[in-house]
Amino acid sequence: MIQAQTNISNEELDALLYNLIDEPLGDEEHVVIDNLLSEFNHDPPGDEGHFAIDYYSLPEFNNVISSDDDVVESQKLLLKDSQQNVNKTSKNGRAKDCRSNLLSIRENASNHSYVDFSSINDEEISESTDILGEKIDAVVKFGAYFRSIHFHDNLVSQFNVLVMQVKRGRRLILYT
Amino acid sequence: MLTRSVESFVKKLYSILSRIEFFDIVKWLPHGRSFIIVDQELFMRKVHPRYFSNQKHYRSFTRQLNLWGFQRVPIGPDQGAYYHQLFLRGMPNLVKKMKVVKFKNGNRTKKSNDVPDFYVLSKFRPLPEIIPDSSPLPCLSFKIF
Repeated sequence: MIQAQTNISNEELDALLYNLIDEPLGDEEHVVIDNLLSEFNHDPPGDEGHFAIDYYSLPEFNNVISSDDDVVESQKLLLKDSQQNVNKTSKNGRAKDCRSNLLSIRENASNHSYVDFSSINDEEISESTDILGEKIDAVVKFGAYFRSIHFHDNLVSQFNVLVMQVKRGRRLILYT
Repeated sequence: MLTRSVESFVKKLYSILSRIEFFDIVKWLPHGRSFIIVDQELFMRKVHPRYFSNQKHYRSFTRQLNLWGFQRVPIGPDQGAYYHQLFLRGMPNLVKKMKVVKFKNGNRTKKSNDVPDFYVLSKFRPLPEIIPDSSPLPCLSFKIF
């Protein structure tokens, strides 16, 4: 659990996070997210009306951040981007085709994103090591750093919420 | 995406950045997530011929950078530097995962000016300092064109 040692409180974090997931998810988004979750061996959608992801079921971060302060600061970085996303989302509206968005992420992520791989143990990397996989996989496993540009895609923003929640050691509930 | 021998370009580049002799010519930026060629003329005269003897022009070098997916920092304090998410100071094995980017129909995706703030990022996740390479330098080789 993060200690409130900076200017941003847990309540503010919550407010920002729930702003991002305030809009109901469409059926198509559900399908895409379900598929992604199944790729990570997460539990399928839970109770009717919403599904919950217990952070304990997610892979642990390869955490190189040593102090709570740093974690909070990292989140503030993410939140700064998230706030920009809220504005962009409200302007652009929800993407119509999440599946194509997902494909777009997979195909073009390397051109539009920067994932911070510094937390990987370099000595363990070999030619056969699959460190990239899917970009989202990297995010979940390594706590990748996302830029505001990623939030053009609502799906990524949802997953970033997930990542942020995981970082905070919280349970994530996406309301439908 | 194509896979090429890393030794062919990226590993050589990493090796160059590990040489104390070249620190005034080409170097990692303080955060270790991008590098910059400080003196292009000296780079072409003293460094380039030792490692990329099959290339004549600086433009060929930058073309190789683009081919390997490096992005140029267009603005800000690191303007002119190049970065790649798998090209990090002190993480030579990560370079093995770099691939040559193949563009469909020869079309390149429009690059974004949205460069990550490496200084802030390095504050939370500092990279290891580089271990200087003290092995003998490759010989200067000039190709007659």
